[in-house]
Amino acid sequence: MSFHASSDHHDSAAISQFLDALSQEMTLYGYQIIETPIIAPADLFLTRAGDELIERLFTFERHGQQLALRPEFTAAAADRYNKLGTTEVVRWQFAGPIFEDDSLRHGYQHLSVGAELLGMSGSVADAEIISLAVKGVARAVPNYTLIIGNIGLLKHLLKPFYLDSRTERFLLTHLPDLKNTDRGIPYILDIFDRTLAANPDQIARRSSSSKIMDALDVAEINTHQMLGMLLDASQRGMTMGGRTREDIVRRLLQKHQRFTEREQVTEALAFLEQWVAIDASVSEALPALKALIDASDTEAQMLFAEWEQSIALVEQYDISLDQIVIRPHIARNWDYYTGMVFEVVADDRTRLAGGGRYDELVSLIGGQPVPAVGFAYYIDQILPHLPSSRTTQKQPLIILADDTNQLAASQLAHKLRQHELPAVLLTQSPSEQDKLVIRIENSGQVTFQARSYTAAEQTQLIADIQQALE
Amino acid sequence: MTERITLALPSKGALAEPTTSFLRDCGLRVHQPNPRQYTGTLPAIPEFEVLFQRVKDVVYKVSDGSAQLGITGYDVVCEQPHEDMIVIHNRLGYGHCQLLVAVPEAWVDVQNVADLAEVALDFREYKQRNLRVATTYTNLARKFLHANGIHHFTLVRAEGAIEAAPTLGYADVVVDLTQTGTTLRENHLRPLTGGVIVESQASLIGNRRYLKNNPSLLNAVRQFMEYIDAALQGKQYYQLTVNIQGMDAEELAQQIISNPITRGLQGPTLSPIYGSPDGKSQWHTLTIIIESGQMLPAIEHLRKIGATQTSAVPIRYVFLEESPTFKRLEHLLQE
Repeated sequence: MSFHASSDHHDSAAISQFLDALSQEMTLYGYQIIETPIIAPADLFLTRAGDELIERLFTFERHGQQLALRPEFTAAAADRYNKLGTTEVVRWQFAGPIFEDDSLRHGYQHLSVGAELLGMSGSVADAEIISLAVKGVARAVPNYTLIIGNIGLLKHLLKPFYLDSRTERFLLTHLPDLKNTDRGIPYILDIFDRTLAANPDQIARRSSSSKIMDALDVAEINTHQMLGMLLDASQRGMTMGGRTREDIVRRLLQKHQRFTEREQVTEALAFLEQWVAIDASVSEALPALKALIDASDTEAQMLFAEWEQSIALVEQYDISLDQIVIRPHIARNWDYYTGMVFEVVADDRTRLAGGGRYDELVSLIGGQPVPAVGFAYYIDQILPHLPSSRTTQKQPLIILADDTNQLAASQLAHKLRQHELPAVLLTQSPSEQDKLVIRIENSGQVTFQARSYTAAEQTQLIADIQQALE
Repeated sequence: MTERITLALPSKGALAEPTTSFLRDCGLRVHQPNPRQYTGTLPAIPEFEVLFQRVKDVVYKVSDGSAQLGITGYDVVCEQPHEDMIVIHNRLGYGHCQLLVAVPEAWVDVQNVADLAEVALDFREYKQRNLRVATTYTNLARKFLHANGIHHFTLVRAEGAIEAAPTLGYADVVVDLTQTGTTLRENHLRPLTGGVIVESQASLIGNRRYLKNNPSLLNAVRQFMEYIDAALQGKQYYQLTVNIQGMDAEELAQQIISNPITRGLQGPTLSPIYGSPDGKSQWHTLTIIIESGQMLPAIEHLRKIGATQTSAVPIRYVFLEESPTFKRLEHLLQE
């Protein structure tokens, strides 16, 4: 079992070179290096994390508090911004281990690198984050594909259907089923009927009380009255947990309302089916999407124009349009993102980087609303694509230090390192034959490559070593 | 000092008495010299000594190796998994119960786990607090709730009287063990559809590391499992002794075998009865083993082919070629 999956498949020189390059690139864009705590209250990550992430969240309990090892950087960045109490624009870059409780599939610990841009809205910020993510990936995988979607636009377009937030979330998480020919709209509606919507008749039939069954025969009975009867304390006891009768009535009515508004859900699904069918190049997809947007919906037009603008800006960063795919329903965590979302993938569809706009996160963890956009590299997925490092490290010189010459050996090692020559002390000859070995004789003379040097010839020795290492 | 095997058994609670009677039925009487002491012996297997512990402590003792075998509920085994603890047999046939999610009966809007997930969101939205779940099974409860899309909850740790928590108002729902559901009903709680977390019964567990490193003791362990397997197998069968009329034993045997229910484990045994009253017809005594649930269909079939009186005796032990439980243990130790 590997505790650090990242270091498995590559030479460490290439990895650190790559990571340095990523960090330098982000520094050129003005991103400041920030550290976030590895351990934080679990609630911070639970606030808006998707189901997939939560199931793998590495949690534990201390002194009655539920804690977690960070699974990503974004929530911590939002928390930090919140605590700073600022409204300034900040650009932060992160690098370090993230964790998941999934030792069987991927190991516990992964290396992650990412950037967050908080306090800035609009297409300039979006394009900056996208281009930054692509630049890093392109170093290792020139044949990447950039997939861009827009959750904010889609959520806006669902507004005319007057769905409540749960129904909307339900439909969005089931978008992949619309593309699955075996499932489609009937499959989604079936789940909807079983989970979110309910006909009060069905609820009453589940109840064994004949009083309620009789009441149902009276067709004109008021729904509220019927529910009141259902909840009659004399039938059900006083055990309520932390809910009141009103809470239960409200929810029953909501489920009933969803049932009666099923028509709207069906219409919304018909619209979504058209929306997800578009999955094409920029020149093809954007006009097709625009055609689906009501011309009189000025806010939608504005959101679309902004999105179009950010894609146009991305092109200015030397990112070829040929490598961009517009997939308006790209399935990233629906709870988290509020606008543009994107992924950078390899030929084999492995995700190499991903991110998007998350304007609500800061307010959800208890602050003022702050526009924010960010991304992370999936370093573990990128490393296998990394070309091996070009500059090989200088092979260190080995100085043999036995009991008689420890002092001289240490002095010589120090001297060589001062001349930026790598030196290693060993107490016995290395088994590998090809190493450069320096021996110190009892006389104080130094032997290197079959030549002896006196103390006075040290300058010559260093010159010869430098030459040997060239 | 000779090496000994410590078997941890439940000292109190719903599994305590049934465990000692189960072992007694297996031919493994537990001898407890002083009821106030926590130790005892198994006279049938001298290498064994018995340690009485609470059900949860049986798991801890076996996990840390201070007991090498133990009998406890499968629910506590699942709650406290340990890499050195192996489940050797998880269906000893008694102590059945379910670990499940139960909600107040008054929550008529909550029928299944999806409903509860929505209520958890409502708590956060309208009451700015988490759903509170009272349980002693914190690991299993947390895992189950997350796996079912319920992420915003607080576990209220409680020992005993968990069912009362929603009435007393310090929890909203419970995750608790139930055998018949009576206690839940008395507390106005109702199991949630799809809310069963573990189907539990008494289980035999062992310490993998110890059993692997002490092969000399495995023979005593095998004897222990032979008794248990033979008794569990025995419970599934009855032995019938039947007086049956027919001249030709071979022909009679074919008629008996023609129905799979009366085929027995290997086939029927027939022996002639001598000195029949009329001196003409020939009678036989049939001895056959049948499955417990098939008693009446078996008798119906035998009557049709000439059976008169039938007596049935429960079987105490059936020894197969080898102990399947010991075989499973050997397999587990190889992993």
